[in-house]
Amino acid sequence: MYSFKVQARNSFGLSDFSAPITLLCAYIPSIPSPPSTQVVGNSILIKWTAPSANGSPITSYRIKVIQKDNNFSEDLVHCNGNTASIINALNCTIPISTLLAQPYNLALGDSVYAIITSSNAYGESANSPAGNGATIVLVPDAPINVQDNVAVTNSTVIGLIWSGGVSHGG
Amino acid sequence: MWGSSVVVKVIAFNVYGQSLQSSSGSGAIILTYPDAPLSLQEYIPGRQATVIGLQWSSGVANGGASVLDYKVSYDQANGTYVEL
Repeated sequence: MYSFKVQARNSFGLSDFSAPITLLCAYIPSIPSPPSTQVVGNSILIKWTAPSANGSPITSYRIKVIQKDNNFSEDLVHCNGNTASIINALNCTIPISTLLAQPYNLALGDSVYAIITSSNAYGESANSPAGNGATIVLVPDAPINVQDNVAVTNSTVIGLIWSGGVSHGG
Repeated sequence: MWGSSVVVKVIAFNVYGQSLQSSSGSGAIILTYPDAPLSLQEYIPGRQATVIGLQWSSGVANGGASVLDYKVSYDQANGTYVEL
């Protein structure tokens, strides 16, 4: 916190001081480090670290996740960086089902990259670099059509055959 | 008024009478301090990571002579202003 005041000078001398002003020496936050992504159950956990606030508390983050078309967009339902709990926790979670739908349209096996910005009273940082890109995976679907393999089964052997489930989970 | 020149002529006297008027003198200019600057505030577009911008208006009167420059002083919350 600094206070300033100013005087004018002519050839006779210096004026009185102006009325002072007090300013906080602060600037927009630094660019955050790349956020990490991690599969946790049926969701993607996005985590980041707080960048330097540069003198004014961070008031929000903007968390953007890659789409199939390589653009990034926010999911304000699950990762709203204006939310105090997310600001304090430095992480948020998006269901994989959300990322498989519009506007993301990702597929199982795709990588999920996230970028974030941070804001304080002085403005918003530039985008962070993209994070590590966790691969979207789910448990595979259950096998189907389990049946006796009559060509193998005999008096001492039981043969089984089955088909894979519809989805291998990525 | 401030900024005007004061020009004088002098007449000498003795017991035989008075002299002619002298020629005019150099003409001192009536000066005083300028008024304090007004409306000191932050110049928002000037703010950068290591820069703060200030802006102000000149005072109402310049004291009879052009303002030559301005002095900016700051106080880092210890009550003592230091000239930049």
